[in-house]
Amino acid sequence: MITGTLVIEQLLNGLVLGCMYAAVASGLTLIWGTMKMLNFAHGEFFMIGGYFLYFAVTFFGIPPILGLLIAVILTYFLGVLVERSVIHPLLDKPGWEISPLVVTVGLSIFFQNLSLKIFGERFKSVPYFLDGIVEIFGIRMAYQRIFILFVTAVVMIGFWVFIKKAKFGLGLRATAQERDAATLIGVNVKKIYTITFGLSCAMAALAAGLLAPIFSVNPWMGHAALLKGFITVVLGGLGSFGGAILAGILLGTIESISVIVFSSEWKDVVAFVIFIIVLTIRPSGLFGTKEW
Amino acid sequence: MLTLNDLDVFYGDAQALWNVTMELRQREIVTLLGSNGAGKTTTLKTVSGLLHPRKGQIRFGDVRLDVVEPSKIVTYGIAHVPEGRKLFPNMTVADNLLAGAYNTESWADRFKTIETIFQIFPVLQVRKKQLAGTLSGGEQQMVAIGRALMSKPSLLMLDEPSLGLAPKMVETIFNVLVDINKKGTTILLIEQNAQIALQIADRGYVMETGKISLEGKAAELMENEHVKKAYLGL
Repeated sequence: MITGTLVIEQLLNGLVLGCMYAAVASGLTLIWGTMKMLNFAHGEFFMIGGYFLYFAVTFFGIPPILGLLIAVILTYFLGVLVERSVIHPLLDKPGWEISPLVVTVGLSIFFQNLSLKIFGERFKSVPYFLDGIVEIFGIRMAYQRIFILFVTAVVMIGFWVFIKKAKFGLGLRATAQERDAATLIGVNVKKIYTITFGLSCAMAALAAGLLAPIFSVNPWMGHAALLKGFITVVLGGLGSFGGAILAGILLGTIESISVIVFSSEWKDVVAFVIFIIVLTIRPSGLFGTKEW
Repeated sequence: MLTLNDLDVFYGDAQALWNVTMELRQREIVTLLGSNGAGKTTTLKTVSGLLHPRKGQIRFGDVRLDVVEPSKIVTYGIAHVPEGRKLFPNMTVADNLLAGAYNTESWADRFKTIETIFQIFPVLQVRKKQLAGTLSGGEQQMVAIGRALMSKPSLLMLDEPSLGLAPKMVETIFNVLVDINKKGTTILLIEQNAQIALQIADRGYVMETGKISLEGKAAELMENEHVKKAYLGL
């Protein structure tokens, strides 16, 4: 039976899911906007982040929230390592439109199989950070999900402010808008690229870590994340950070509500249908190519 | 102050500059003339580090510039106003200007420096919250020059500042350049508009198909038959 309580609970769940889509998507759009490349291994950094958390909690007995922090930091450095070793040599060489795509697809396959080899195919579970449910006005919400909402909001807003106000953010925007001029005013474009890539991977890891207690970790979890991430990015407009966030929340909310009306197997269909409709009406996405 | 010594520059395997040798002395205005594709922009880009010479050296004072990391060149006091302005289109005029002080000691007092830029180009103060991509050509040129001045350079390099601008605007801008030079900044000016460039320059070089073909005092160049025919339309 569809009650108001059910709708609100689903809306809140949708918000949580939407935050995750937003987090994954903003990493992708960050790389596109700054480096003009698409990272097809983004889902795997998501997955690796999840596994770092699992590893920290299960083998080192680290409390989950600290484990999450460690996972995010480790994934950042892994991203930096990958960028310096594999992406960097391709920069400024002919074929930049294609080469990072090819390389990151290769990385994706490599990481998936590496995980499979190391961790095996069984889904691994990660304990909840916070147990328990809170009930307000008859609406029940798990503390874990409230935590997810809170952390994502803080990180996304913090990042937005960082891009707009901090000196590094200025360098990033300059590189994204006019790379040569950025070099002329003293921005080290190569360093910006490396740090941006690392930050993007860190954000993916954050999303995975927050979701891990709910969805568990497995070598292929990156696939769904990447797919939904790309849909969100294109929906919000390639290159628009704000667009990625809004589109993510929109997508998550609509998906969750639709679970009430249809059954849960159809929620992906709903996502794709929305995607097709928006792109037909407005091909450049909700916020076009508006930059940061 | 700045010497280019026997430079060969390539784009991939295509040679663009042959044995280019030039020098600038402190407080001079030197102009580099030539038609489209002659190699003037290539020369400037090589000084800025956006391109690397395959042969030859660039010296700024006693520093060898061609081996310096490109993003550090501005810290030596060299500012480059690129061809086509290359403003940051989705930043405001104010942000574009402030960005000019990014990597130098002038970052700390950038809010003071921007006031002096507004004094040089008052219209920019009016437009300071406007997105740079929406400005007119002349205003964009002012922002580009202003952005370069924010790093308080000792050498200002401009690539075709008169391009696409109405004559009145060109006059305004060139008056500003003369003023900046009087206050102590050395200027290297690339121009297709030889007429106006030679009016404000002390010395000039003429570049043709990647080689320096002529050099001399501005007054001499203005009287040179070849220059008159090819570049002054006389």
